[in-house]
Amino acid sequence: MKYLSKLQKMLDSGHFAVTAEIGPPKHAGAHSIRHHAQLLKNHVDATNITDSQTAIVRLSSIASGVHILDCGIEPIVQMTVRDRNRIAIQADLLGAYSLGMRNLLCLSGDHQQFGNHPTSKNVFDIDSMQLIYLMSRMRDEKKFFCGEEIKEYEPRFFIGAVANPFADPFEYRVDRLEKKIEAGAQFIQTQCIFDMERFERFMEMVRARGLDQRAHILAGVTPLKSWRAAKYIQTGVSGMIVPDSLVERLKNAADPKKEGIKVCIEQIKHIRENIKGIHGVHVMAIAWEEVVPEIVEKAGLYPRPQVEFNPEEND
Amino acid sequence: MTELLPPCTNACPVNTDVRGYLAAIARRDYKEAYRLIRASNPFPSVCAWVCPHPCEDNCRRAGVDAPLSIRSLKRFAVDAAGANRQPDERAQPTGKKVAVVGAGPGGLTAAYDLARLGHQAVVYERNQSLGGHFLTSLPTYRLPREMLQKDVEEILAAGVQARTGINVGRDVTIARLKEEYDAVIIGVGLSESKGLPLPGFANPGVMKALTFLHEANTGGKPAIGSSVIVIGGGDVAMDVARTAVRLGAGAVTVVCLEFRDIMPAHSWEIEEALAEGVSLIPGYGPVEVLTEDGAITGLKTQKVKSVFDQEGRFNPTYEPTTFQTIPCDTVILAIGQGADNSFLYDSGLAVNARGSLETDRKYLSTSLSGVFTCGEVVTGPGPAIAAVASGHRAAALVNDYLNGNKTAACEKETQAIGALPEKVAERVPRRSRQEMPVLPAGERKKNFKPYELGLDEEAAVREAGRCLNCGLGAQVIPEKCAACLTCQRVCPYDVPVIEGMAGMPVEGCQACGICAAFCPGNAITLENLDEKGVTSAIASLGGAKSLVVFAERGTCADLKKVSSLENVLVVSLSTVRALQLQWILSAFENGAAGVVVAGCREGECRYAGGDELLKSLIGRAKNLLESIGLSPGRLYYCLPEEGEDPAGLIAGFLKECL
Amino acid sequence: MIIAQQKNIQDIAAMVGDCKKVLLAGCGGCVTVCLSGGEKETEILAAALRLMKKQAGQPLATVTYTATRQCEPEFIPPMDELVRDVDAVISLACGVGVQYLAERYKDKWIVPAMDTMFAGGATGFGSWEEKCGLCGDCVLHRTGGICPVIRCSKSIMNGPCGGSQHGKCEISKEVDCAWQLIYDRMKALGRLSELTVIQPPKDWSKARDGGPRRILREDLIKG
Ligand SMILES: Cc1cc2nc3c(=O)[nH]c(=O)nc-3n(C[C@H](O)[C@H](O)[C@H](O)COP(=O)(O)OP(=O)(O)OC[C@H]3O[C@@H](n4cnc5c(N)ncnc54)[C@H](O)[C@@H]3O)c2cc1C
Ligand code: SF4
Ligand code: SF4
Ligand code: SF4
Repeated sequence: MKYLSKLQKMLDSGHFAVTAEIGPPKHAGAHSIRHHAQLLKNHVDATNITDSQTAIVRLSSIASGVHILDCGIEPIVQMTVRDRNRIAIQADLLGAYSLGMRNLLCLSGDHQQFGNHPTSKNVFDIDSMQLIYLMSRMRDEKKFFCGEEIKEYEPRFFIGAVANPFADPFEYRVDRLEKKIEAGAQFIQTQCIFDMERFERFMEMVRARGLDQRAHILAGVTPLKSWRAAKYIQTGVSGMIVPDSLVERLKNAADPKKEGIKVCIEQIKHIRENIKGIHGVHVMAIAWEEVVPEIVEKAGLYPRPQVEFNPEEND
Repeated sequence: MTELLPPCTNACPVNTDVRGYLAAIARRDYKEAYRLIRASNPFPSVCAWVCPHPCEDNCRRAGVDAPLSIRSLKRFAVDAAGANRQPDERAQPTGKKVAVVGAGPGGLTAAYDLARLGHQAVVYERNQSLGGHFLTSLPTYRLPREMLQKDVEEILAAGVQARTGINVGRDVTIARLKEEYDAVIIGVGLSESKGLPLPGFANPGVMKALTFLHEANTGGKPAIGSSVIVIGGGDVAMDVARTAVRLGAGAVTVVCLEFRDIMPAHSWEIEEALAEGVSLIPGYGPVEVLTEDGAITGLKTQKVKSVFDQEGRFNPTYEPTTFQTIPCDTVILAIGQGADNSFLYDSGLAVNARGSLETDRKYLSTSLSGVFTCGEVVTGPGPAIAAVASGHRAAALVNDYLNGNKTAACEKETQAIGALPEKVAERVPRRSRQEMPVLPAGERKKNFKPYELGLDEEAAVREAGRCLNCGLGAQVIPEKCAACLTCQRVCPYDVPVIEGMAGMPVEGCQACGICAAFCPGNAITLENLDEKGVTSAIASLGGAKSLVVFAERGTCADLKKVSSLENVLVVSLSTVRALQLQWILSAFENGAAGVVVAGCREGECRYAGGDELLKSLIGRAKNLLESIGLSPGRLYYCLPEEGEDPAGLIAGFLKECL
Repeated sequence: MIIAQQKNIQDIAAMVGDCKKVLLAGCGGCVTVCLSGGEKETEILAAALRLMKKQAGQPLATVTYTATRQCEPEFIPPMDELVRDVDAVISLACGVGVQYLAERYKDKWIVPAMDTMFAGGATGFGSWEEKCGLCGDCVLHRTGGICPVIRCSKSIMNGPCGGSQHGKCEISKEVDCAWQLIYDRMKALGRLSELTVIQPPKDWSKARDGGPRRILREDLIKG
């Protein structure tokens, strides 16, 4: 059995995977990326690198990937359809593969109006669904998006997608997940879970359709630094649900940061022990990467199983 | 083609421009109001007192709250216009001569028109004065004779000549007149009260209405007793009864065939008579005047079963055995008037079986070419204004005849604008009707002084402002309409319909002009708004440093104080909500130092809806002024609060600006 | 219909800063209907510009003309006479009209008074909304009659994205999520299953392409 990436191998072998997220900086220096990679190296199986998250210009995800790879972690390259047309996307992904990236997460991308270039022109030539489909077809049928044949060295990504159980319409979220899997998504990372009850309902429907058998679902978690952060997400970010009880809990905490970490650990344990069909967690410690090792350790996910994977072994 | 008229105008026999003069009153232009009234009626003052106002009975405002007090307003205009009036224009003399027999409203109108057309018009009247029934029959408490005098003077001033004291038929024959004149018009009216061929009616104590009234009106003391019965159910009977009351008769009773609800007298005449103490016995017909020793003791009457037969003809039937005897010492007959045919003597004119003049009612001709007729003698009894209308028509026909026009003018066909649609009527803000103030019955019945006091100026202006300006509404210029729906979206009455292009059904349109203010294609015009007048008023500034005040017509009237100031131009609009942005700009362009939009007090706008759109327009104007380098403070939306005087506020702003 | 709105008057004035006389050309088509460039707005703009320039001590003369439609070349020539003795023409039509004017009056300075916004319609008096992306390849039959190209802020063909919440788009609580609307309508029509089909990438060559898009109707073209 040949694996596309170490992450795939890890998941396919039945391990409960741990991924984290590294946000590249708003400048051309790589030290913070490398610093975080070093920090996470032994505690996670792969790290996502965001693609100009919230439409703020940052060091590119592919270039960041090179640094991370160099530090010894397997990157998950995020690719949004917001900034590139289908020509640029393909060109960049051919490049990424050539540089050793093996995991690809396909997303729409936040609208540019939230970022630091709100007057820019968005692209949205294709959507994330189409990107998933076209990239898996590229791998499996050796075709460019246009259908033209790729004679050799087609990129062979382990393709992932995101799912947001907290967006509306709720019932349709499972349909759309299925559609993504249908399109070729092999792993799924969910939006940050704060409303566990809703997530459980979502997973029930997912399992009912057997979708957990067809793709590896990684539950997204985020440690919150303060009740203000919780409140902001609750009211200011579309597609997120934060229960009032959580806001209250942080508000009443003597040390909110500690409490935030504690909550996150509880969530991971709960998900792992009680929710069937989840194959890993994706820890999004936004601008707080340094707490990830502690969380992973206290959640009982440390040490990480050792899986051997040689990127060249497929080529 | 049938002309569509406001129902008031359409109901008026001379098609008086009612809404025109009401609008003039509303803007306090009383001379113009008077001019408009007189344009179709040489008896403005008389009619202002006595016209039974069919206009009012047809007023569309009735669909909202109550009809306009039109006659009261006419009376106000006539009073307010004062003496300083425009002389009539006269055409070049034609050398043609027309004799008019009878100086009632019909004959005088005909003569007046002919005189203005340049013909020599000579009126022959057997009385010593002119006016027909106005002079002899109408009670003076209803028609002060100065009013008649005023109208007659103006008629004579137009060149009409009068030969009074000449009884045609006796002093001169029509045949003679025909020789002397190019045409003759017979307007002798109906000057004989009808009698009744029943027992006792030959008694000298039985009087006839016209004789009785004539005597009373000329200061005589008709010989009535203390208990008077007036027979008849029409307006003349009411005049007789009320005159008898004023002459001091103790008891006055009106007996008539008709039941109360079908009495021919106008309802207000009956009510006023009752208020003055007249009693009414309707539904009884006279049988006999009872006498004792030659003196009248009572009237025997019989109960009426029905007045009209199945075909609707007057044909009374009686309850065979129900009689009522009413004691009285005087009986006055007011059961209708007929012509005094003495004018026919040796005239050579054909008469009908009943001995009356043979006429053509449409062309007002007689059996002799060149001899025409007008007034009640041909139309039968009716309101004076109908005699006036007939006088106009006779003059037009005679003029055609004199000019050799074979095809006599047809009367134009007219039609009234239909009723106000309910959904529009519902939205029209309610405004109470200003009634004519009158002396209390107890007081007025004591003498012959006029008892209608006339509206005061404020009441009149307010009342005139109730007019819905029927028919002056939005007109769409088809080439310009883009069917954009704006008019439909802004109309406070939901009137416009867009079918291919916009149309504002005349029945519904309230002529506010709000749609025109927003129509992006400038495709809407309204007579009621008079856009041309607005633009030329603004242009008339010619760069002079001044203040321009846009105001609703009624408000304009309140702004007299302001408009009389130097440097102030008040531009009147149907409503300030019809204000157009380009007018504001144009005012500044023409030198205005400031522009005021004189808003209405809360709830006082003539039209439905609020001023939100106007506020937005003013907001836009201010922004625009600011961005082109003019201080937005130079535009002032003046919204007086309760008790605040807009004129004061505006004067203050004026000081700031200049 | 094309929805346009007037530029700031200062920007318009700056375009004709050195002119003594200008023609303001209104349009009786879409911009009349959307209340921005018809005869009334043309007169208002003319008056405002005159006033502004007078204020600045550089009086400006204006003439106005409102064409039936500026987007048809045949409606332009009636302006010839007026254009002759002005220094510039300010068009209150959409971009199409401005270009027809520029094409016909080669040696005149032709400037736009409008920002041509979108293809849409009124949502009430004084409010308009974009409804169609003019993509040249209509998908409304697949999306319940609601255009995802323009009404979805990301033009997603397989929506809704994860930003959809309470029926609103992630970009603003004022903006309906087009995909929520599509979902609701398809559900009401009992056609939800159609949404599970993965919509292929759109053929944008029919939309905005390198050059002007053209339609040539062989059946109508003479000769
Ligand atoms: C009591 C009464 C009250 C009325 N009240 C009102 C009212 O309130 N409002 C209203 O609108 N209408 C009223 N009318 C009706 C109105 O007066 C008549 O409609 C109107 O006067 C008719 O005008 P005319 O010109 O046809 O005739 P008349 O007014 O009758 O004028 C005819 C004239 O011809 C003269 N004449 C007659 N024979 C000869 C002759 N042989 N030679 C010379 N001259 C002659 C008469 O002396 C008279 O002056 C009233 C009528 C009466 C009788
Ligand atoms: S509202 Fe005015 S115009 Fe209309 S019928 Fe009454 S008086 Fe005449
Ligand atoms: S507002 Fe003017 S252009 Fe629009 S439909 Fe009405 S009349 Fe026609
Ligand atoms: S004039 Fe007034 S009532 Fe008549 S259609 Fe226009 S907005 Fe409506």
